[in-house]
Amino acid sequence: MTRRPLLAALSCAVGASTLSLRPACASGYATARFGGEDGHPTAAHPSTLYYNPAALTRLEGVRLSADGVVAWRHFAYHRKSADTDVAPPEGVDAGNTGTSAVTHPMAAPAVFATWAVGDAVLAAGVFVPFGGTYDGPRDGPEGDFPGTLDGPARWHLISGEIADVYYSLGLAWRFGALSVGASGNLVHGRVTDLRARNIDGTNDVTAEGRSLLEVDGLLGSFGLGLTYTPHPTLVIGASYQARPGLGEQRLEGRMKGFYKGGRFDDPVDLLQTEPDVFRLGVHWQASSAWSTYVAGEFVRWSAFSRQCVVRAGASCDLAADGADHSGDGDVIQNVPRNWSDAGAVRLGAAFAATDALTLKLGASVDGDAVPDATLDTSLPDALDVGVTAGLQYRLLPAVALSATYTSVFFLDRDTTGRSTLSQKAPPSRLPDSGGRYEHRADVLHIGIDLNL
Amino acid sequence: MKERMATIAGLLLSACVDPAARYDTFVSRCVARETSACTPPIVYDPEICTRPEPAEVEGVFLFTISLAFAVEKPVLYRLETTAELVDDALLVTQRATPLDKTDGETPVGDAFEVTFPVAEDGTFTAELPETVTPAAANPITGGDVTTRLVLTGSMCSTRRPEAPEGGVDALCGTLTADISRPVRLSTTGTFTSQRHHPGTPWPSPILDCAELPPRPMSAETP
Repeated sequence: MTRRPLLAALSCAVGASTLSLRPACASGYATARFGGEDGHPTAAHPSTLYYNPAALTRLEGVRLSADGVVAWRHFAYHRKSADTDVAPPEGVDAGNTGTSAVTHPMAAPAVFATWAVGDAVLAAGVFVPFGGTYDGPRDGPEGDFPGTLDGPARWHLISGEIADVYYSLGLAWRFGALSVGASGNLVHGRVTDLRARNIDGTNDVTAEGRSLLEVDGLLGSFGLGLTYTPHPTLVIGASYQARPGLGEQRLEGRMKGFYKGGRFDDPVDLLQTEPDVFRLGVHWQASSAWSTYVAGEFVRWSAFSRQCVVRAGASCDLAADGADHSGDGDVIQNVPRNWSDAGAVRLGAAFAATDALTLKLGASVDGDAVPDATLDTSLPDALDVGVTAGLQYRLLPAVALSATYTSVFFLDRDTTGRSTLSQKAPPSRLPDSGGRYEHRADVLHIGIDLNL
Repeated sequence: MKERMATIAGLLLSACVDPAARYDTFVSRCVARETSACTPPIVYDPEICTRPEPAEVEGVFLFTISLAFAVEKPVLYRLETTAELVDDALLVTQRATPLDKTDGETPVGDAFEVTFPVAEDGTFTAELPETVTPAAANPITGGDVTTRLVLTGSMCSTRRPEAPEGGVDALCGTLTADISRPVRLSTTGTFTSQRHHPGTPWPSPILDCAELPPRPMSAETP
């Protein structure tokens, strides 16, 4: 398990705070934004170790790259009462309706190194393609019951984190116009989830408790890629990134629960399956000054069907209605997800204004992976459009600095009356998560590249 | 190694988020409130009486268990009770069969048996064996639950020797529950046992001593 106090201290020491979900430019909670406008499957940038390892053959010499994404997310959740809500005692504000609103920042650095030897390129990197953290507001009523203060979003997440940190090695090889590449990833996956919870899965404020899940695990995955350069000015690339863990993950740790009249602290496993990703891109060097790219990705979020907490070592056997079907009472808590596959498209252009200064523009459209039925405040998603502007400045012949700003506009979603979470049987039952979801994100990417 | 990786992960996805601290804050808020929903008071002062005779406690009962975290969702059992005097000690044996959560009458799952002594003043402590309440009888989480219960109660308050059948019509008291599956959770609760009189409808469950009527519930009750 993670050593949380140390982690928290180190995290705060780098001056970052929190963000729920992705900042932009991917569906679900995919956060791959490292590389900025060079983060795509045909770029000449070390970050293609993730996006398409074959594109590493576009690099020469030794390249070191470090960059960071700093994002501010603005999120508001407006909830009305649902038919399945448990009515509070007369005169009590249960804090189950109203608005939870929060704005907070996030920082996600990434580092890469590449070494070209002849037609081969070796690469290494550490980065976070999936993840997000969240620390919800304390904007609920403060009354007779101790949980209401955490607001109407608390039944789906109060504070938490989901992250896959990739430690990756890659090799690419050029065969004339064709390049192939592969990467191997050691993935440190972890999930921390604090939510309001009753043992029967309702939002009965008179029995309100808390569950805290802290799990992590080491997983393997790989990436494969191809690039084809039919003309010196044109690069076509395609890649595949396998699922972290290559299938269903088993993250190990503990779950603590504090319920009315009792508490527990037990070893548990979280079972979940994260998606694999297909990417396709084209880069065209239109002139010595102008270049452009278009890239798309298809993320198979349909694999992310549930997040199931079971007794350590047990399996997650659920009936169609979400009830524990194990026969041994092994399933402790299950969050139905039932996400859908989603895609994203990005395009961008770069203009070399001078030998040292390059201006960059980009745009993106990201699909929505989360259906109305299971959309909740822990991992919200929506169709969004991003607009990017930035520059790269070559400070020294071997040193380039880059900075881009992206504003991401999410479509508002209103799922009032469409959530099915409260219709499940325990342990899959959760309070109705319907409501109006509004969010926007501002993303600043900064990077430094050394070409040795 | 995972600790080092966690540190790196923290640097890579930086966040001052500390869910454990907020969990502890909630627990502190609960503990600090005397009228908190988190620690419901279960006050029970068992009535003292003269120990009943074996025949007075024998019969079929509806056994209702109400746990603190889901008071309104009791787990129900059919209870067949026999009793005998052994060396002047009253030993009560109860065979409990879980009942379907949807109708409260249909037996589901395996029965278990417990034997416990009743003190001279009518009070008793019954340590039940570890039992599995099947999903069909569990209205709280809907899954199998493994529990060990300890009941503390009295056979006094509704003793009704003048009734046509004679004997005890209802028991009640408090309990502690050590749940071992799906999670290990110790909690408290209340229980009642309501006699089923042949030829009458199966009783509607009541949750605790406070809700027991002052007189026996039987239709024949004067």
